[in-house]
Amino acid sequence: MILQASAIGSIALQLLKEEKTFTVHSMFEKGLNIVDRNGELIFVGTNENGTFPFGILLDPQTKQTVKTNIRVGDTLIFRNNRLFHNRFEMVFNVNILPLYMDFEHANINKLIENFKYISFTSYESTDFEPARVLSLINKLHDPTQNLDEVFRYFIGRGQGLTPTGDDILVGILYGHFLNNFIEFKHLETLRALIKEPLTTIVSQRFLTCAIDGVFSSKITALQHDPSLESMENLIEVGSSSGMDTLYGIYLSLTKE
Amino acid sequence: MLYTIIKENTYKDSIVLMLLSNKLSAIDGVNKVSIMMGTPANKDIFKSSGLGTDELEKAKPNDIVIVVDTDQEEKVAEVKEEVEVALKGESDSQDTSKGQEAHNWKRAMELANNPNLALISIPGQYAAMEAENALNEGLHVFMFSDNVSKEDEVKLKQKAHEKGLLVMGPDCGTALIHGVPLAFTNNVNEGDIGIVGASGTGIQEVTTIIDRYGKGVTNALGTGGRDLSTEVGAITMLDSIKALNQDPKVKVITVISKPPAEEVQRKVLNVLRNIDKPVVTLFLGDKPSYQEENIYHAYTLEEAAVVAVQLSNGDKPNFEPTTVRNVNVLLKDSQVGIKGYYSGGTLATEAAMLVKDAFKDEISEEKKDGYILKTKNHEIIDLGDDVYTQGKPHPMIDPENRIEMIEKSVNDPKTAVIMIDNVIGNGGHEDMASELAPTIKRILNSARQEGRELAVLATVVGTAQDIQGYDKQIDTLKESGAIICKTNDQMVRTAIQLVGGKVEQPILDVQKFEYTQEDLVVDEKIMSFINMKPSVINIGLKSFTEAVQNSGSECVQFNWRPIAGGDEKLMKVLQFLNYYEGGTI
Repeated sequence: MILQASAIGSIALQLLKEEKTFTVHSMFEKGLNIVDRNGELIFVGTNENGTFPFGILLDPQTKQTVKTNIRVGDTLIFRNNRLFHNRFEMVFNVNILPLYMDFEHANINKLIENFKYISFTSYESTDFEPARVLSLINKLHDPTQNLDEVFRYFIGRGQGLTPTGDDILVGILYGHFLNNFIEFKHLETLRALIKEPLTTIVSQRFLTCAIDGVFSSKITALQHDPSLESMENLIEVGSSSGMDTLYGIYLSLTKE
Repeated sequence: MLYTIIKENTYKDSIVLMLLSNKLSAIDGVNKVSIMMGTPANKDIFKSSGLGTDELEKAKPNDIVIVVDTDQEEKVAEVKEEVEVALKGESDSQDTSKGQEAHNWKRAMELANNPNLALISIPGQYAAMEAENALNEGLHVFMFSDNVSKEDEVKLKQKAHEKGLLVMGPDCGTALIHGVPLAFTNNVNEGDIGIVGASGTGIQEVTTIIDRYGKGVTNALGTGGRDLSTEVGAITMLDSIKALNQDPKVKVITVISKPPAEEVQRKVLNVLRNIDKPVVTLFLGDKPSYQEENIYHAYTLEEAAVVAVQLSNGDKPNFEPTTVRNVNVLLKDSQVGIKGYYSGGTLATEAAMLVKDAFKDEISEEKKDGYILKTKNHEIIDLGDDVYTQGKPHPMIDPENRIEMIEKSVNDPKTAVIMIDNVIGNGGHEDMASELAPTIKRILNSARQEGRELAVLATVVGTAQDIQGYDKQIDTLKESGAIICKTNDQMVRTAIQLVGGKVEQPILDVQKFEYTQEDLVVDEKIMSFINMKPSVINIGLKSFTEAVQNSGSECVQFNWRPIAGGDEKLMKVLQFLNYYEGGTI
């Protein structure tokens, strides 16, 4: 059975090297994760949660076919530009998903204005109450701070596959790329910490990308269209992931 | 007491974990429960909220950790069970819809996971209304229900076509959607032959023969028997043909129907002539008078199946009809009659066609209700005809009528051959062969006692994967004394040969036809429908839900009750108001 991918992210493309093997790590409603020997992860699935630079995009029917033919732990080999599984092969004569790093196009004022219509009160008196997150954000542009402990508090904390703390960090990092404020030193601290086993492999993937200014399409949509609709689309991602990310963006853009 | 459950390297969508968390908290006797990924930060949370345990330390960031606080140790088993249910399988929502039932559309749509098909088997007078509801919800429709007016059929199919949806039926008995059998359907291997048919048992006969030849089917789309009428204009047939043409998995397209209205046949052939893939057509009842470069016109169901297999193998079409050899039955000169007692309507039609063809010079047909063919010597009966099913189950489920007919036929000293079909598969009787076998034995005996012999021919329509067991059915029938024929075609030709007739296969020239360009594009929704296992909302017969679920597809049972106390007029008013688009809510 020959299956056709719809598009591929640039990071996923870099990971697909001749004769490289991948293992099916986990399966979800919307797709599955495969990892290489170094634990680098590629998401294979639909764009319901947006597209990812580390993603291989499939249409819903192909995703369904892949999912019915594959099990966690299965091996896939990349050879002759095809990804082989013992029950199918996937071809990639496809578009490369664009990387939107044109952060300068963002209309920050409009974003801030629209944040007024979104309620973040649910974070009050939680582990991520505004005071705590703002305290982190303020320390991030102070080069004299050592943030190791604070980051450890956030990374891997909370509900879900991408714990809340991680999603908030991704949001803060996006805020940083829109409106530079994080000291290089702290980015390096965070980069080092993410390599430690502090959070899930999916979250690790999102965070490493975010440090390099690479985000999912539901996030980068905000820099092209700062409307409430874009925000609502982001909120719909996961059970709370999208909301957590937006919360991070909100606080990092409204910090003063 | 605290209990820790660790699921190593387990990943679930957050929503699944949340639902599970709610469920566990609701268990009586559970004081507190928390589910999180086992990251260091989360272990701190467990500890600070009084759920810290020693086992917790073993958990790694990619493990799901559940800590339960309960004073009743026996509750832990219950928690574990819930956890297993929620986390089992690789696809989360796959099982969530199982076992849930709805009583209205809203609930059904909520329970179903991205539904794309409504399977309707409620009484005919209500079926059209629910089919319309399904179309409004954006679902394709499979209508098993009959007694739907032709006007309603036209209206539904036009609406579906405009919306890029497919309506199979009404009175559609068979379909295979991406390997998922709907209603009366055999378990057929997947392959590269795409079938669209206006006849249920016709599709069953063709797909099972293909399967037994070791090949398979991508989809078998039923259209309902009236789709090729002038009024309906083959809406479903044409969309299905185009879909099979667009589907890269389909190598050969096979079209099965009774002879359509002339202008409709022209329309269908014109579309087929636009197609590059090899095509096999069978307009059962018409003897083909020409062949075409890319379209093979078959005469019988077996021929259609065999040629489809040959084309799928890249071979040239070459069909040789067969008969069973060495039939050890001594018939008297006075025994000249063929009696066919069928449960499959299309099989009966095929039998009548071949018998008429063989004895065309000597036959004067009597038109009689309840007979597919009735002449001085021969009779072919479709026991699935309304005449025989009034207040009775279909003969594929209930053998009673057939047994009665077979018994009676022995009294006629002219009877030479009795033909019986046994259609197995989903929806069929669990062991029809064992029901018929004693009768077969008995009539063979009683004829012998009267100094005659009889030939009872039987064919089983099914595959090795069917639950009844193809071989088992054959063995049972064989043991009873029946002569087993591989196909209906072979059975009828054998019967004809036994009474001294023969059916000539047409030998035909290849002709070329002008055709007009057709737009072969078909809506993406139909393409996606035939390319994945359907997610079904079943309105009516519950057994259909089970069959769909057994084939690994999702199905939500919609226990339909007529609204407005079943008052049709009032129901139609409500229907109109529900979908009235001019007003506000």
